[in-house]
Amino acid sequence: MQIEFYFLISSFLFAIGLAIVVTRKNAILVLMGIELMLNAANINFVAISQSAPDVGAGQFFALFVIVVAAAEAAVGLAIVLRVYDYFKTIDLDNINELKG
Amino acid sequence: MQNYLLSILIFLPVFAAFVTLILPKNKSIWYRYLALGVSTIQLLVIVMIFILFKPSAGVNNTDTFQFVEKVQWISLDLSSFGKISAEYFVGVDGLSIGMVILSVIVFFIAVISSWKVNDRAKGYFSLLLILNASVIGCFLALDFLLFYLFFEFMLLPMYFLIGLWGGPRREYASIKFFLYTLLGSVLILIVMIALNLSTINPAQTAVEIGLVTHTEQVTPEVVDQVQQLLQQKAIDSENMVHTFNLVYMTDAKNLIPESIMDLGLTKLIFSYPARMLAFLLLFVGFAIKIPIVPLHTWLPDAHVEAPTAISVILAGVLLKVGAYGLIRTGILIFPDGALNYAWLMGMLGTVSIIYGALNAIASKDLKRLIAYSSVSHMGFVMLGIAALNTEGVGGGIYQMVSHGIISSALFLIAGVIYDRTHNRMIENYSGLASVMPKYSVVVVIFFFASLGLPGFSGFIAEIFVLIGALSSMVLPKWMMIVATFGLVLSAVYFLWTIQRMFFGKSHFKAGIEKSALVDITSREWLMFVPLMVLTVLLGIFPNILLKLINESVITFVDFVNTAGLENLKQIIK
Amino acid sequence: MTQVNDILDWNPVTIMALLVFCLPLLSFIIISISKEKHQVLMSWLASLTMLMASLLSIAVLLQAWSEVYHTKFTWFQWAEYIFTMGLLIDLPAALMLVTVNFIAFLVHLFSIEYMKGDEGYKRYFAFLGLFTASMIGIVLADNLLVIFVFWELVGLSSYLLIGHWFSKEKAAKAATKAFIVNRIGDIGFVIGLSIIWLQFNTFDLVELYSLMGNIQVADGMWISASGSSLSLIWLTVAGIALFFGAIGKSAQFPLQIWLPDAMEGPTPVSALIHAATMVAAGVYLVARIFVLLNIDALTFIAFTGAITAMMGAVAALTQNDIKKVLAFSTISQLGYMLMGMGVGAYDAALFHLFTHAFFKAGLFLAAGSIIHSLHLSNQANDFDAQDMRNMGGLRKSVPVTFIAYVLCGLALMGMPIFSGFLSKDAILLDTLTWANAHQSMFFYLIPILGFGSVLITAVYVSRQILLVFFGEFKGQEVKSIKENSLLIKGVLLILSIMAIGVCWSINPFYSEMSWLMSHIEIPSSAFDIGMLSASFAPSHLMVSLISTSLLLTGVVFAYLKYRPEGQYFRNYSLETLKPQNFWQSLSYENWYLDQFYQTVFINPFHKITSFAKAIDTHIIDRMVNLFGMGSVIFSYIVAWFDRAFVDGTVNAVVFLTGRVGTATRSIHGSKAQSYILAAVIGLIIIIFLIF
Repeated sequence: MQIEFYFLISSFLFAIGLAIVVTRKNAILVLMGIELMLNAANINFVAISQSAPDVGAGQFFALFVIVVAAAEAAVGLAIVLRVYDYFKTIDLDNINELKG
Repeated sequence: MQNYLLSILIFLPVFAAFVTLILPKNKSIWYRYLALGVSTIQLLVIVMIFILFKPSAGVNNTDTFQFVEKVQWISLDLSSFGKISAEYFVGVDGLSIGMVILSVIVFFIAVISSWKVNDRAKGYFSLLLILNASVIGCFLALDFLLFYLFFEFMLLPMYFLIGLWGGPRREYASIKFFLYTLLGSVLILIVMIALNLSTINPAQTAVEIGLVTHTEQVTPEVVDQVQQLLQQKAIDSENMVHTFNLVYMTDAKNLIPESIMDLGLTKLIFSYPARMLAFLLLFVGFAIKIPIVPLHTWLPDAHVEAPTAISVILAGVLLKVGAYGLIRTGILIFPDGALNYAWLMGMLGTVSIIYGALNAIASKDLKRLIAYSSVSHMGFVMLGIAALNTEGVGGGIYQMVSHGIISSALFLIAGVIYDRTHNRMIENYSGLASVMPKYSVVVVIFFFASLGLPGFSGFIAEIFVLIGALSSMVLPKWMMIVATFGLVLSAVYFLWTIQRMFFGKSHFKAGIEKSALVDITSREWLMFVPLMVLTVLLGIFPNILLKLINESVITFVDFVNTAGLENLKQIIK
Repeated sequence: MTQVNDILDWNPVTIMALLVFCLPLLSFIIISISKEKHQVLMSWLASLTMLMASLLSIAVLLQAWSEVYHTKFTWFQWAEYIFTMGLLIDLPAALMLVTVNFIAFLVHLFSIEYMKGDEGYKRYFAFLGLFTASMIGIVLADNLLVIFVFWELVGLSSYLLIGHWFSKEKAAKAATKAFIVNRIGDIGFVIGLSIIWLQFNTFDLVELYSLMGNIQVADGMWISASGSSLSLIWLTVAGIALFFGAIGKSAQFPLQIWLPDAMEGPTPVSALIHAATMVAAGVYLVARIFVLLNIDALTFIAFTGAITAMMGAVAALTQNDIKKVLAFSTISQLGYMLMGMGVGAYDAALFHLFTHAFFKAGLFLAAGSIIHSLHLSNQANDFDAQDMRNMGGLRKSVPVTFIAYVLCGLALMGMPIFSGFLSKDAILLDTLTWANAHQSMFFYLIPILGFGSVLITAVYVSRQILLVFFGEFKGQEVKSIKENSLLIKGVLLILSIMAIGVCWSINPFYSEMSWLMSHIEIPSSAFDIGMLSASFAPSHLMVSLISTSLLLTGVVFAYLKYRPEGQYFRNYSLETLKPQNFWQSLSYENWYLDQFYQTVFINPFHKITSFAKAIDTHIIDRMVNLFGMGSVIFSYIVAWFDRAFVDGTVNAVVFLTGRVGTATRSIHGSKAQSYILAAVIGLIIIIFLIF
């Protein structure tokens, strides 16, 4: 399979993830979007590691990203919980104490 | 001691002013005595100067000035531009000796006239003393910057003296006087700066370029050498010492080539020769002070509103500063301009004579009448100077002294009546001669002196101005004929005033009480008698003044006519 | 014959003359500083001084009879010129000296009586002294400038004396008028002086005499010995200009208006100043500058004199004031003198000056005597002692005065045997000679006017004598009119004697025999064209006969018209106020000269001065004030400009900065996700920029 297909898929996923992050109001959905972006980067890493199979750096890095994503999701969720405790909502449009 | 006489004259009043300011208020009688004392000392000094004065020319030669004091004052080194040097340079020659003597006498009279001033006396007397110093400084200064300094310094005390101690419209009069004359001063400043940029001090330049090591070693040969080098453009601009020295400025060889005031006239301003323009500026600046019609309208207001003593000083001395300044700076430095514009100066002088007299005739206020008569008499001075011959210029200088004495007396006369009734309108008085006979005698004497009756100084002055005007080579003959009518006109207003105010039956209007009209007191006699004596002395023995001024007048006229022609030749070619 | 002394060289004659000058001056100074209570003593002292002066002047005359004395000393030095002052005593000067001093002496004596009790007594005598000294100054001075000095001083004395009773409005005005009209004449004098200076650079008379002798006339230019040349017209101008001064001083046409008004002064003053001496100074000046006058100037003088002679005589015909008749008569006689000068009759004119001085002074003092007597008698309170309409029949009351008056009057008319005849005759003879010498008939105008004046003079003198002395007295209390004291009578007597011809000439009928006239030399000038040579002279007898017959005609006419029994005399009283017809009005109002000057000169002049004042306040000063206001307004505009633009720019910049800040601040939006968006966009831009 040509590597461009993998890139295409990962860029689609990245774009979808970005769109979710920028447009969705729900904080958890934003976290999910971030996960999606990370996973899209993973796909990129793995696809490229196909070109240099004996090093396998891309796959190793993808494993790292998964771990970091998990940690980050955990911390992110914890923050969302604290935000919910304070603002009583997780609607990002309403979390706005910075006077513009 | 002899060397410092002039500085004593100038700085003693300054010191006294300072003392007046720190004297306690309850000793106000001391102010008067201090001022009187200063005036008396000045009188003694001037008598010494008069005795020691040797008739010598001065004018354009430093060696023939007398009582010279020369001290370096400002010395700025501006590297590639050159150096600027101003000196404290005072001295007298025939042109200024008459003025200085006049100033001292007039101030003495003014102090006596101010004796009764009680309101804010401290300020009054200190301002008077500063005015004294400035005026005398003006006449003695031979350095343009120093002259200008004193010239400006006169304005400030006058402004306050008129504005605070004057009549009903004093604020208007004082600010008009101040701004009008300041405008003139600005024009003079422009020319002064231009001259400074264009003239070198040969003595100090000689030191700079290494010809001699000290200015004392400078001889006329060295000066010639420097001047030749200058004309050959062989002196670097950073070695040139720009000067304000009036005597050096008269010598056209001290002009830096290619500079603004140079004869080669490389500089044209509005396509008009810069030197001519400079003379005109100086003329306008001083003409405001003399005053010359049409720049004279500050004078009637200033005189009418000023207190008596200030009017005395204004008419007696301040107006002469203008004429003296014109002679010393305008004509001596720009003889070419003087020759070129002699017609204009004579014309304006004649107009002043006639116009001033006409206005005097139309005046209803006694002081206004006398103010306009001052305009008319200073017109004679202008005409005399414009004639540029010995009769005319001598007559002009004589008239300056004579008019100073007589007009002081005239204003004192107005003051006498004002002190008693605060009313100066001529129509309110009639038949004063029966009520105040001694006063009438004084009035008749001084009125006749002012209209130029022989036996008084005014006659000598006016007749020589007229003779000079007719014999002049630069003025047309009709000017003198028109000016002679001024003699009749002055008779008209003075005699008509005597007839209206003093002759006839005594009756007074506007609530004037006969009891208020006290005849002359001894203090007033003290003021009138010296003036009477002086004007009669100068009328019968003109030599008293003439032996002082003759040499200078001859040199002046020669210089203006020869140097002027030479300069003009260079300019035209 | 001339003895000229150098600077500082005095001799007894000049010292005497100097004393003659100093004595009245001393009198002036001493009387001025003396006390009021000594005034009568002072007046006698002054008279004594004048007596001494007169005696000294006679001594001078005797010396100067055959020699000219000149002394000068340095007065002052003006630049390169030395001005001297000195005495020039030639025959005319010496004669004048005697005349002035003697008449002044007589007037002093007269005044002691006349002015008795006057509150200005001391002042009067002081000024009399000042006047006499100044007049002597004019007579003796050797220098035109010095003459001018004393000329003006004489004017001053005249002013002070005319205005002696200064509380009278009319007197004050008359004094002012006299001085100013004199000054107008002086304009000419100054112009003449300046032209002389321009050409010759000297004022010394002796030098001028010799310089004028050495001038050349070429190409219409007037060239002096030193080479300076002027167009020839200036010589005529100088002569006429100097003469203009004489016109003012001697009350000639057109400046004769001051003399009638000057009669407001005390009568002795009128006698001394306005009859005998000061007004004669003009004639004397012409005599002194005779060599400077060329033919044109002399012709001008002759015509002026002749016209004035006629005008004065005509004006005297209808006057009612006793002194005004005499004033106009003086104007007329001065015209005679100048007419004589103008035709070249230097000696005859001077002769007439001296005879006139005595008989006119006599007439005036006699009039003064009448006025004095009337004042002292018991009349009504508003009685005008000078008005002839109040008089009549006085020959019985004041006989001595009457005799004096008649004698002097006959001299004035020019009756043979009397002094006036001799001098007038000589002048008339010379005018006829002069007219004969000219080609044109026009020049006969002068002798015609001269002879005509003889006729009219006879008429008005007779009129006056008839109206004053004959008939009956019109006022009250004729018995109380007494003759005056011996002092006055003595003075009048002396003057009357001088009016008789024998004093002046051995043969009272022939002026050539006059010891005085024959001795005066006519100065020779460069312009002598022999106008008066004997070849043109008519018969002297014929001239005398014509003048005498005219005179007698006039007397007869006057007698017929004005005799006491006649209608005129009977109607002549205070009610006769208005002149009847045009000619009478012309005479009475002095040819309407005063009115003419008022309308043509004085009223417009007032307008001119008001105009000048208006120019000054509304135009020139307004320009200054407008300039000031304009500056203030300009500065307000500049301030507005400053606020609006300069400051506005600053404010605009601030505003803009604020707006930009606000705009850029909005990047820090409310949504957290906008940050992410911004970051992504930035990243994309950077990537695009790099690749």
